Amino acid sequence: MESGCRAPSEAFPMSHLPLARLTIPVHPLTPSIPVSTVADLFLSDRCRDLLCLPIVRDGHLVGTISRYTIMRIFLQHFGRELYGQKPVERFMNKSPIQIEQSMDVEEASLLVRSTLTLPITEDFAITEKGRYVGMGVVLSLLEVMEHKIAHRSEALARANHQLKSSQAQLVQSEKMASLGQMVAGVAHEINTPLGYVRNNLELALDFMERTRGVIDSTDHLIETLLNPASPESQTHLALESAATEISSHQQDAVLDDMRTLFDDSLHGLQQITDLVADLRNFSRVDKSRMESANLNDCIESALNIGRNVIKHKADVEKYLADIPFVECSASQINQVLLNILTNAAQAIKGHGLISIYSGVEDDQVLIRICDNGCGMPETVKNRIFDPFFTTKPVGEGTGLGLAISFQIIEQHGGRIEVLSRENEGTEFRIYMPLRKAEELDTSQRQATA
Amino acid sequence: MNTITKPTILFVDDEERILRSLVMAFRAHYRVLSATEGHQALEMLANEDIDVLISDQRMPRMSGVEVLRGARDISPATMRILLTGYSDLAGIVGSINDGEIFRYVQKPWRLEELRDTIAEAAAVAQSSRSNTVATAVGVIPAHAAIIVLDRSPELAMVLKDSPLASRVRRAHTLEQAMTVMASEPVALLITDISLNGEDISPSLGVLKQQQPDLVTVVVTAFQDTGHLIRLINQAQVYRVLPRPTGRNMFLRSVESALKHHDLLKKRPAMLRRHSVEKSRDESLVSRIRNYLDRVRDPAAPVQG
Repeated sequence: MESGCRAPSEAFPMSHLPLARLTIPVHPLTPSIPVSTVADLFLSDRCRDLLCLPIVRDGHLVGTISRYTIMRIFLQHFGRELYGQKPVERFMNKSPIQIEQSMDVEEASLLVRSTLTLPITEDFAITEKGRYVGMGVVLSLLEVMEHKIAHRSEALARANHQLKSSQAQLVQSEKMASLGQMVAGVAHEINTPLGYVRNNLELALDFMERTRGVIDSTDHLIETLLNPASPESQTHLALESAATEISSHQQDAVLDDMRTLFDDSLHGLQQITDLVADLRNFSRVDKSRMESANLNDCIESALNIGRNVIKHKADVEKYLADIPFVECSASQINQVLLNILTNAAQAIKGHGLISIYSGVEDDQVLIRICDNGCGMPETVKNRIFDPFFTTKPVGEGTGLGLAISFQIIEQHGGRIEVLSRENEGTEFRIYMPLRKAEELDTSQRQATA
Repeated sequence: MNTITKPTILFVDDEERILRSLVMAFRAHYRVLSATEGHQALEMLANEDIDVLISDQRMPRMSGVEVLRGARDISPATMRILLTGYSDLAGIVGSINDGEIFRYVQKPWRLEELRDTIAEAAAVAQSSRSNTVATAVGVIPAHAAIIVLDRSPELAMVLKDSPLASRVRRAHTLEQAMTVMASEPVALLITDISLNGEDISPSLGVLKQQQPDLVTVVVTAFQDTGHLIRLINQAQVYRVLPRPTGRNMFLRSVESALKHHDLLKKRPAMLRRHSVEKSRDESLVSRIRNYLDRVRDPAAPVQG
């Protein structure tokens, strides 16, 4: 049997099996070939790239002989003379690395990696159903793996990108869901001032009509008095009618109340104006932009929007200190505050108290929202920021509110903490960094976008 | 107008501006009381003769439905109206089943309409106050029929298993139900709002107008607040139950509805307490009236 090697460039034609593509069809050695012949083969150009040569009997791999082993033999005193003519079988590695061509690259590299020792002195043999077909070089296996990893990290980057955009969608849909619940409540808040403003206007209209009656009858009286031709009976009649009009007008005493009526109406319109502004602040769909905002205003906004849910569950006490402006996306902070306030109201059985504090602590603004509701056990408390974790009945909460709140505050460079004691209440603490606008680099702005 | 003859009305709302505005609008013709809170309102109801109670729904501590339910116990003669800007389903169902209200008025209201509604309620309250003695008229049929107008059989089945079995009549269409109504005394109509995919709530209103002592129990999965409000104002539905409905809850409601019917029979003055807004759909009224006339008296001429 002729023994020898082929250059790797003369590899088998492309196959769908990645390992087939790596296979170098090295002609195998017989077990009886003398060591010195093997040494000559290693010196030839054809075998330049190979670390070892296969030894095959009846088509089956029985071992490999490595360049390293030959070198060790020849480095001994009189090595060539002593062992040169011995059959290679005596020196071969009887348990070479053997890989089935049908294996996938990862499996193969795992196997190679686990059997390989340093320094790397061996290539691996490739078999097809146990029969020898050729040799493979560790390096080219690495190359394939590298390619594969590059491909995979690209896919990973793509998946990451998709994840990010779907997360943005989740944030948005949670916002829409909580907004939807709020809208019904806010409608009530608007309907109340609308109710009295409309009623007051209708009262004013009534009053105006009756005032017209007074003016008309007074006019008529003056006309009659100024006309020398009017008979006395007519003057009396005009006088009587004017007096009746005026007294009926006075009886309702509406004139005295007119001031209050209009003041109330203006107040109502202002309330509607504020609510609409709050609603717009809260629901801004455009990418949240960073602005200088007073977190006390955010608290008021969230309270206005959530009033309908809160007011019949709790009294609200505010202890708001004079705090510096904070660089933030106000609509997102509103969302967080509303979420925590709504949770607080929902945690209260019967009628309770929600206390809100704001202040400065070190270089941060601290907002504390405390309720005297049912509190939560440690096991629940540890999970409240997990996405999709909810203690509310199906359909009432998405389980995303606090997870998103957590994320929003984190993206602002702040942090959110929770303290809770069962049956006593819960306190949320939001810390927001006090930084000047210039200090926020653009990457952070993008992160919150 | 003499203060003593003025009817007394009580407004309950946590927004003082609403109260101020309403007091101004009504003080010329009524003695007007106001309360910003439920407990205060109930105390007033216990201490004074109040003809009409008009309450907001969403208030701190005590909801409007709770105030109305309390009023029903403390001062049953007082007519109850809910005036609210918040139409949540639970509130509306509560105002029917617990509050047994006369009208559901939404904020913002039209002053003219609110004046009419309150005037009507006040007139009813004053007339029933002067008619508190039971006056039985004619023979009260102890076994007036119960119509179950529903395509699915489960509600009728529940009743067939009860002592009421002999009084149950099943109907699949509004016409069948009306045929029963024309041929024998009917105490109770049990129905869905939607029948064969059609909204029958306007017809329920007309039937109530035709037979004021007819008591209606609606069992429905339908959850439209606008419909329910119409069922109060235009049909004076006695109970609204969710579908599917629990057997016990259903039987309890039917029993209570039958008692209510007996009461209406014994005290015709009570009927006015449950009068409905006149249907604006005249063609529907005349069609139903015509149909009832025809089945009652086949010889009557058929009108277009």
